[in-house]
Amino acid sequence: MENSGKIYSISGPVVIATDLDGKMFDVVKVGELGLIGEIIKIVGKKYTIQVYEDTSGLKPGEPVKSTSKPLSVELGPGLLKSIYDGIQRPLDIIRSETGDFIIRGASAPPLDENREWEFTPLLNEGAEVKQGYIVGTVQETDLIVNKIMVPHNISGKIKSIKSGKFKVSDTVCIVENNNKNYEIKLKQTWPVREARRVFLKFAPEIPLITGQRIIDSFFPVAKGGTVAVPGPFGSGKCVTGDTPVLLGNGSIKYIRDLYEEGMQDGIVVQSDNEEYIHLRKPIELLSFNNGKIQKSESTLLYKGKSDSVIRVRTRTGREVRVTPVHKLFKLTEKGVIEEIEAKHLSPGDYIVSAKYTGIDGKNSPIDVYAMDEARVLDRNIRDRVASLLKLSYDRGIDMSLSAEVKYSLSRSYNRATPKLSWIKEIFTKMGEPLPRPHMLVGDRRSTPVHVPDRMSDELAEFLGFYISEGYIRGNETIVFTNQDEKLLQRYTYLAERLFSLRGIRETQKERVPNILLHSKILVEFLNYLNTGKIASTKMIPDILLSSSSSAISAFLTSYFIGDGSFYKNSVEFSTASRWLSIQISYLLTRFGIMNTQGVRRIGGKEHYRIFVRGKESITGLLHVMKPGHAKIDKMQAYLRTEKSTYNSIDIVPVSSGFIKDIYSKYTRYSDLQREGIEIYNYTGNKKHIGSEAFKKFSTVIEGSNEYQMLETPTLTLADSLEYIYFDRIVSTEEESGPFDVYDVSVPESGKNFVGGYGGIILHNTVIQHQLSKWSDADITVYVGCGERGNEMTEILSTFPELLDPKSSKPLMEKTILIANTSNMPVAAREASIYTGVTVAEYYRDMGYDVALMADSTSRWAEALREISGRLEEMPGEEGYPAYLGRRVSEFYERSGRAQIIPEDDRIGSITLIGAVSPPGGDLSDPVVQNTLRVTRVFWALDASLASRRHFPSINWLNSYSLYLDSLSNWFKTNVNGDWLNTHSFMMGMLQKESELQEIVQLVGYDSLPEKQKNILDIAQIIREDVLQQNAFDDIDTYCSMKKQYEMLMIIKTLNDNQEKVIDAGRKVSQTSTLPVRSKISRMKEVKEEDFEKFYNNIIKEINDEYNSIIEGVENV
Amino acid sequence: MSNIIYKSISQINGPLIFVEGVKDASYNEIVNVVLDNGEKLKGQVLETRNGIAIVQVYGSTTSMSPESTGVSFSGETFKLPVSDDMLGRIFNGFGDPIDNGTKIYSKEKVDITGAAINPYSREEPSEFIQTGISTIDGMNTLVMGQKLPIFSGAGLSHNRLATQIARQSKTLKSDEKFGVVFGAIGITSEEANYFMRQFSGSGALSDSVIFLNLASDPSMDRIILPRVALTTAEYLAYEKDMNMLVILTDMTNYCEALREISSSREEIPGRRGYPGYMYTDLSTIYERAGKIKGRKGSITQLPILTMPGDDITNPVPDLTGYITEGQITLSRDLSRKNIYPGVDVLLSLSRLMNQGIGNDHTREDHRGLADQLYSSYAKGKDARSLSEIVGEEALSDIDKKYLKFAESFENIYVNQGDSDRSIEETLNLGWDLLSVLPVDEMKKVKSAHIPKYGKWGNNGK
Repeated sequence: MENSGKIYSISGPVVIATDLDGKMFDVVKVGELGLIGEIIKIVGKKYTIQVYEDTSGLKPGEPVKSTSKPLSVELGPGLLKSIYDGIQRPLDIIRSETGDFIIRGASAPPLDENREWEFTPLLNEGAEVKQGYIVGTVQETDLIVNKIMVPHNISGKIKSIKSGKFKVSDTVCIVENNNKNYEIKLKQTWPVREARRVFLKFAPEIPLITGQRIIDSFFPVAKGGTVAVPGPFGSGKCVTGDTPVLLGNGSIKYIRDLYEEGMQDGIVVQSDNEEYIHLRKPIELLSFNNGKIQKSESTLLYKGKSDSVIRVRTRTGREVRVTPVHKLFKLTEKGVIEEIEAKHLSPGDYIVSAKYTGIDGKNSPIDVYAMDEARVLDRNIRDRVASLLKLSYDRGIDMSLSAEVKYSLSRSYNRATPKLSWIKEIFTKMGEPLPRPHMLVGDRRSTPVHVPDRMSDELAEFLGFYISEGYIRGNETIVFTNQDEKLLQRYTYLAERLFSLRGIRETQKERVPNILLHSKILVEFLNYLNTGKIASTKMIPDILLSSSSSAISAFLTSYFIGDGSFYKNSVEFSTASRWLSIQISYLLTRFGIMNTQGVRRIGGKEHYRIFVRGKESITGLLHVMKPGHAKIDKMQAYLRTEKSTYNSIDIVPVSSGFIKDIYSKYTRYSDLQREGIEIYNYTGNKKHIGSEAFKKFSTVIEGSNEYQMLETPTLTLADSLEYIYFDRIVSTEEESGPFDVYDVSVPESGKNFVGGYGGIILHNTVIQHQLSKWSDADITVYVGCGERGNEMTEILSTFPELLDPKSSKPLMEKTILIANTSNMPVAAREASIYTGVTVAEYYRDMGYDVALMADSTSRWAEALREISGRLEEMPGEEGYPAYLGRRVSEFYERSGRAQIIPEDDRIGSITLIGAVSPPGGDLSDPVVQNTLRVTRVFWALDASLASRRHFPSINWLNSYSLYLDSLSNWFKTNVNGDWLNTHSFMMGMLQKESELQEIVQLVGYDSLPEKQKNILDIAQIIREDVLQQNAFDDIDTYCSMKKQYEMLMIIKTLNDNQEKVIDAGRKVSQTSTLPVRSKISRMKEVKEEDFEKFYNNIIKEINDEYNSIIEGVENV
Repeated sequence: MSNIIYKSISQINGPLIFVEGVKDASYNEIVNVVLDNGEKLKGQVLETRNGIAIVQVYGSTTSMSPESTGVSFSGETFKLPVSDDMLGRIFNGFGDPIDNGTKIYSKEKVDITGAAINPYSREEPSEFIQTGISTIDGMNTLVMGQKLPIFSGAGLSHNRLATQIARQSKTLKSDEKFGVVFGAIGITSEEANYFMRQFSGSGALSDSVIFLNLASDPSMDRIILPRVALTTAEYLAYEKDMNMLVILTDMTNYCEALREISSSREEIPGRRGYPGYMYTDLSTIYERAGKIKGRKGSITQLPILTMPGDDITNPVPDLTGYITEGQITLSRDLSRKNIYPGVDVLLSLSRLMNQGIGNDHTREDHRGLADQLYSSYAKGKDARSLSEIVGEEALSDIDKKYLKFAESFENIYVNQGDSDRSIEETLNLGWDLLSVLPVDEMKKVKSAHIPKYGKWGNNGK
């Protein structure tokens, strides 16, 4: 029912109306435009209205209509996946109806009125219902079922209920009470400022388990709790910028360059110490996944800072520099590939490297137009230029060439040779496809050059010669030096055939002969391909790296003939360019040819060498290379005489005990011997089993009857040996920075990529939006209030692309976005938070756990301040209204875990996470202070922790959780009776550590008493092994409460023992080398299911090893 | 209704007059006030109710009396007639011509308040604008649709910089129309003369619309001017497909006017007396910058403000910084050294720079080069402060080179005078200057770009 009154007076957003029949906080439509407002004061017959939109042009006497309803939101299926403004106007619909600007009085139904939903009734006719009863369901998105509830204040008997497809305004059920019919529709409405009622709110006694130790064990939040958190943050484990990364097309790039290129076409997100880029177009990489190396994709690049990096070098000369927490893939003695942090690797460990990538590309066309100064000789093209120029005169199209040039071009093709840049301009302006010139010339007097259309085997072969032995003299001469006559001939032939250039022979006394090619164009061509100018910067052009296998073969052959050698049993490629050596190593890996890298210094210069050794690898190489040269023939001859097949590099370094174990359980000596395996070579600690032998070994095992008993890793390991090998670490050294470090994310496909100096499988970081990470809630509501327009655009464009980590469905399926930028009506900004929380309550009522993120509540409070100013209220602190504190606490009060109706056990919760962004980061700001007063948890994000790579970077001294007491019962029954004591012990240690650190600064560590040294020692373990948690590690990403507690107990036991040791007069330093200490530092990597066993063992080991110290016995 | 002249003023109180017997004056309606000496003033309805309208007069109420003053109501809120004839013209804050030209007549009249762009309709700004100023183009790139203020101080050369930018700005895509709306708020007539001379002298006027509000004009005009300017810009951008650069100087005068009017309305003051709604008020101006999906034109804003006492925590720069996407800061130190434009690159920032540079926009080496120049200049400045303590002799060789770099960076790169540098020239100049440093120090640029663009000789040594 609408009733109307009249405007009496207008002043700014405040309108006074008369003759209205309204109640406090009813929504009214003001004036002819129907501007939305709210009644905020009633004095006699005068109603004061706060209008949400600009009031210019309103006149006294214009109508005011009351909707007789307070500001309400529509609740029903279709809310999820929507984007609303602060008063629930769907922004996408508004745009399609009123255009790009939000005009005054614009309105659109919040829910799609035409969409049909499949309604499934749950109750039958005749059933007695009351408010909150669920009458049926609608599958709202793939993830969420919407439960259609009886609206508040309705009860009675179901008179009729339908099933089938309905629109949101259709009646699906009629409830009868005292002969009155009540219609139940799919949608209902609810006033935003009023909390939806629940039957019973529970005391906060169940924690929201996030699997994050710093939260669950230190600063837990209850289901339905409230949290204040300043701003967002990320996480990263990375490699240094000069780390080469192998791309899907076979080319190699420094990760830093990848990052910088990503900046040109991606969305950059920056915070204090880190940046990430969401790429619009994914980059192709290679990853080790399911036993194979395959192509993979990444759309996220990361850049951060690290204080130190670890340089890992392997026996085959591979090398990479990674942050200490970055993981590499290590093979255990039991044949399992484990991810392990670089700081825990040591020489002698074996890590996974790429053996065979199987990349095959195709020969791509060459863009002649890159050499824009070259002139074209092709007659047909010059004719076309002349005719196009004429045409352009006729059509009056302006070409910005000088009149003289135009004249000579259009007049006579005999004298004029147009530059490529002109041709490009003329053809493009005339809308013609670019012609493909073949004969180019530098200036009028120079030799014409034929330029190849595309990469070809012959061009690859020529480049192989040039890159091995060629250089550029002056600006227009290419010199190729070699004493092999046959080779010089071949080179001359290629130059003639590819470029129509005649090589000139230059012979000097007692010098190796040269072949000279004089051509500025060819020099430009080589520069365009980017072959590097001098010996130490030579490189293989990208276009060649991404070419077909046959072109690569041709290149490797000619490069080897030019600059390679074969001596004794090893093939060597050598170069003064490190980059080139890496490229060759990767090229060989493409064919599965094992290779080793080495460096030799000759006369102060470094020479990089790639070796191919062993019969198998050389055979592989010969398959690739083209025969017909003495050096290659020599290799063939060697293969004919060589018998041994043992290859000490391509091995499977599992322990002999492990081999023995499998051998004795699953197979017999004779079966193996038949396959040519002398098993005693491997069981008696003599040598590691080779990969070929291991493959045969596992084939034999697979043939046995009992092999099903065997754990699968061993068998899949054999399958992956085609693609990878195990490379022994020869050195690890830590370097202190600071360094810029980078990462790419490969969320699918095994979370790794191939890179490094020589192909190493590198683990990567996955960065997720903090929202999906922090809430294990069913529904997420994101309220962006008072943000910059261009920033909100970024959220609106990136959010729909994120995936829910648990279901791998788009995160939007369980998300509602509410966006109210700073210039949108301020009253709507004030309302936006209430709109958000009402929507959250609606889903809570269905029994879901909902998380609401409000970013930022500071801007919301500013809106409050502004409206208060307009109403001329007396200001409180910093101009905020005196009721700021009440409004803040009212908002947070709508959180909670609750039983919805008494009749069923449906329980839902709302957890409120409010971001605060005080001006200048000043925590004494009234908004922050009022927020901290009512929120029970504060997670103090700390940028300095982030820069020290401590993640999650929640500061343990400034954060707090007030739920500890109320949750302690839950922890006692569900985790351990001693939980609270353990918690206090840990917090105590951290607190004491910070005090002691001040003393250490004054007097130095050495002068501390042993007991205090112990505190520092234990606190460090807590910080590094408990608080730090890697959200992107498969095991560490989620830590169960049981494991969390046991981890803490291990540390407590360690502390008790250490104190005993000190009491016995020993020193803390004596304990640091105990074997159990390094086991503790690895405990977070122990799987959930293995942890119980690990825990029992380690407690015993701690007691034993410490007792041995007390007794003065040397530990084992 | 505009024919009725009310002579029923019951009260005059400062700039406010109370007119009685008015039936239906609309809120914010424009009012004409005629004094008995024939002087005409404008005003706006501040509050209206049955039978009475409170009018705020733009201008002085000196020698106004209730008996002798007539008031007529225009019946409209402030609507601006817009047309592309406005290009090349000069107007006052209300959009009335002050260049002796004819009045603008147009059927299209647009409310100057403007409406918020639907966040769903916005397009991410990504196109480079060449201002011809190296410190901006090279290191704090302006992107089409961005709002990038210039933070200046009293007596610095922001006016010269503003006209230079207005004169020189263009996009690199030849098929796009580019125009400038120049709004001068509360400037002195001397400054106004300077602007007029600059614009008409350079021929840049033909693609510009200029709005002038002099220091002697009423404060209320200053509140209107940026809205009139932006309404014109929006018309040219979204209806006429032009890419508009809106330069507003000086926003501090705008905020002062806001404060003055707020206090005359007896509103409750916020920080330093500025009204509590200043954040929202400024955002309704600044957020009118942007690009809209599917439309060719765009609005880029370059507001200029002088920080009172060079204090960046003053509410004017503080609130502006919250809304805008970065800032260009002018330095008094550089200005004292006679360096023009004295942009302090270390204190400047363009948050949208990355979107507008690189291969498709400027050149592939742009990001790396900007980072390199930034860090080299920062190191050079460190070396300079070190040399002030220990003397230049005591510096290491590499520090001396950085010191030299910082000098030449300021004297050549920053100090470009009135020259208009293309982005190509700016980038090449950057490489030129860097060549006084050893090539090994080039850690921010891509190694492949060093031989391609660097000036270290053929071998990269």
